[in-house]
Amino acid sequence: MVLEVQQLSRSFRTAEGVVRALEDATFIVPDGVIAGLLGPNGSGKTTLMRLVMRILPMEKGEILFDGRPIRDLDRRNIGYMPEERGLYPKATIYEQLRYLLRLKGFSAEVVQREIQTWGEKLGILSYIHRPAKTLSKGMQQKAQLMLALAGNPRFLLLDEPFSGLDPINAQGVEQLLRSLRGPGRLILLSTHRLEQVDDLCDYIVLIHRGRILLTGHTAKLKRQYWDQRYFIETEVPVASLRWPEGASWQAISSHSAEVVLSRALSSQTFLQGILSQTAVRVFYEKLPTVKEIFLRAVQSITV
Amino acid sequence: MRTVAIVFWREITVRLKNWRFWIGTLSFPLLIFLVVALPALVARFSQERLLQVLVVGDLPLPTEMGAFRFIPVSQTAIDSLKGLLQADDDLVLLILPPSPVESEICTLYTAFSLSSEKMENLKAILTEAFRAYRQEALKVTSDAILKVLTPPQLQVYKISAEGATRYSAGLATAVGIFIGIALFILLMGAGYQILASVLEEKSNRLVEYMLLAAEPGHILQGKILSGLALSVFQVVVWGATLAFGGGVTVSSTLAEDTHQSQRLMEAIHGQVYTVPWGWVVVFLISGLLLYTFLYAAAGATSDSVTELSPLSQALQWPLLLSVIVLPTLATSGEGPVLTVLSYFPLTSPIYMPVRLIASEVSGWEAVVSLGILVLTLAGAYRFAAKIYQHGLLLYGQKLSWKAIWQILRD
Repeated sequence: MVLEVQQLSRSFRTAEGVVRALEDATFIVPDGVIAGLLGPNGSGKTTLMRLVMRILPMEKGEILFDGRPIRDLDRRNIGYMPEERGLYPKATIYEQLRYLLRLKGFSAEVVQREIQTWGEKLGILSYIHRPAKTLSKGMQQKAQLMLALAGNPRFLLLDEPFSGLDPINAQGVEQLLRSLRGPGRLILLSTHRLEQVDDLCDYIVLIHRGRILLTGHTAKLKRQYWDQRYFIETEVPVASLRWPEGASWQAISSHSAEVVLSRALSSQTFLQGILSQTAVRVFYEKLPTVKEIFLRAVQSITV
Repeated sequence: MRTVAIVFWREITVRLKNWRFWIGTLSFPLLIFLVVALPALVARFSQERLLQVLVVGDLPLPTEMGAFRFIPVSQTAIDSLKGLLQADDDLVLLILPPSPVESEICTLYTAFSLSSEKMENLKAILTEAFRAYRQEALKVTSDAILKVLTPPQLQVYKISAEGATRYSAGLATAVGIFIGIALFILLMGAGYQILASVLEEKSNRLVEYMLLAAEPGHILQGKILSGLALSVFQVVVWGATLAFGGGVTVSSTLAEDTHQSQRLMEAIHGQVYTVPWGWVVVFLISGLLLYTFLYAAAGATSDSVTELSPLSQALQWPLLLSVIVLPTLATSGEGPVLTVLSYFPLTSPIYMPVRLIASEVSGWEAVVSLGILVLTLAGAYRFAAKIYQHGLLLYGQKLSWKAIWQILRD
């Protein structure tokens, strides 16, 4: 299952004039990955998600799934979880799951089966006959996740899936998403908690001011954005060392530092220079986090 | 169709579980009773001026009875008496049929509007007089008993400088107020329910899931149809309550004895049968649909119940004003204002039935008014669907008039 977005543009006419929310957005997300859609507020993430979900009509461009237009994809194959509480406060979880899943086109039997299956997996089966407003935000979030996961959709869109969850529940959801990752399914999530994307997403799409800044496998991008930064821990205090020319360092603690090597200085030469002065306890490449890539990419276009 | 049905049933069950729906359903007959019975009760216990009824015809009537003084006059004086009516607001002219056995059509000329209660009392006196006359004339054989029991028909003509036109303001006002209040309460129920439901889904961001699951037009149709179905249910409950319970209550409240109560009941039923209920129902349902479409659009333009957009507030005014000015307009008779209001789509559901009951309005006028209303309905649906689809996804803001205009232009 491959998602292809080609030259997608969308503008809105407002009282202040025409606002271009998305401009020539083009990217591909390969099959079987968990992709993170990242961007600052107002960057066009929500517009992109709504266009993909077909709740906004397209203006220009194309969205393809496995080479076929998005409109050909059965609604039941798209699972979606919005960012904020998306439940009727007075209705029980069971009532609204039944209603919304029936609305999506599932038969009564399938709905019953899916509620049972996902209710058990997510541990909310004993709460489903209670009104949503009496449940914690975490429980409500799980109910929404049930809505998204019911029917085992091939394409999952999750908007801030970890917001409102305590660390234990967040870890549970993360594990669940990892278990769902695999061929034939694509998971696209947007989150501002970039440390989670670092751990979870193996593909990222960076969007800024309606334009796609960066897309690619997280590992490849980390390598691409790596600035020859290393972590080093030594026997003697780092302040007492003579640092080879071309190495700029910053102390992390008395015995450890982060060092960036110039292109002229190889890691081998650097390490030899240090080893001639002291024993090295730890030395490894320090790849940039997704957050650092995000900030550098945004800075590169704003400077 | 499946989606429409799912939304329809969800909205129906939610509304039936809501106590506000049942309060609205059960309180309306009480409200109508108060509107109808209170003025009559006040009138009954207040000193009324005697109405001089100039009578042309041979039916023996009492010289004075209740609020009426009957004065026999000659047939030849009719034209000059019509002129006299305009100068005196306590004077009416009653022309009885030449043969009270053969015909029961009586004609009443008046320069002012008589209250419903006065009309009913006059009819009751005439019914008694006809009954007594026919019983005497026909000697009450089994063949004649039906004729004896046939009540008289009172046709009212309003005298003005332009001449005499047939008019029945009392009943028209009552039905007009019924439609106006019914529309208002139905909208407070159905319209508000749709509005609240749209707002709830919007403020909780359920709309995003719903729009993924179904077409916005289908969701809107399901909501509107459920509102309409429950409104029809309410109207049936109200109609039944008023027809069976209300008449009895009103007549027993107003009548001084059992005999008078029975006569009043006959009179009330007699009037109910003269109302063109087909037109009333068609205009009521069309009006309800029109306002419901607009309410759904209004719901989509707002972000919370407390911050309803200018559109939803503006919608209440035509209905409120219609009910407030209705008694004045209806009693002042046919005129340009009444005519314009009976064609204007936001007020025609109230004012065309009023004109149909009050005066001799041609059928084509009702058809044209309904045609305009139906065309407006189609336009309102397109408008509502467009606003609904665009407004639903605009969180945390309400649409300004300018933004609404921009959406419609897109």
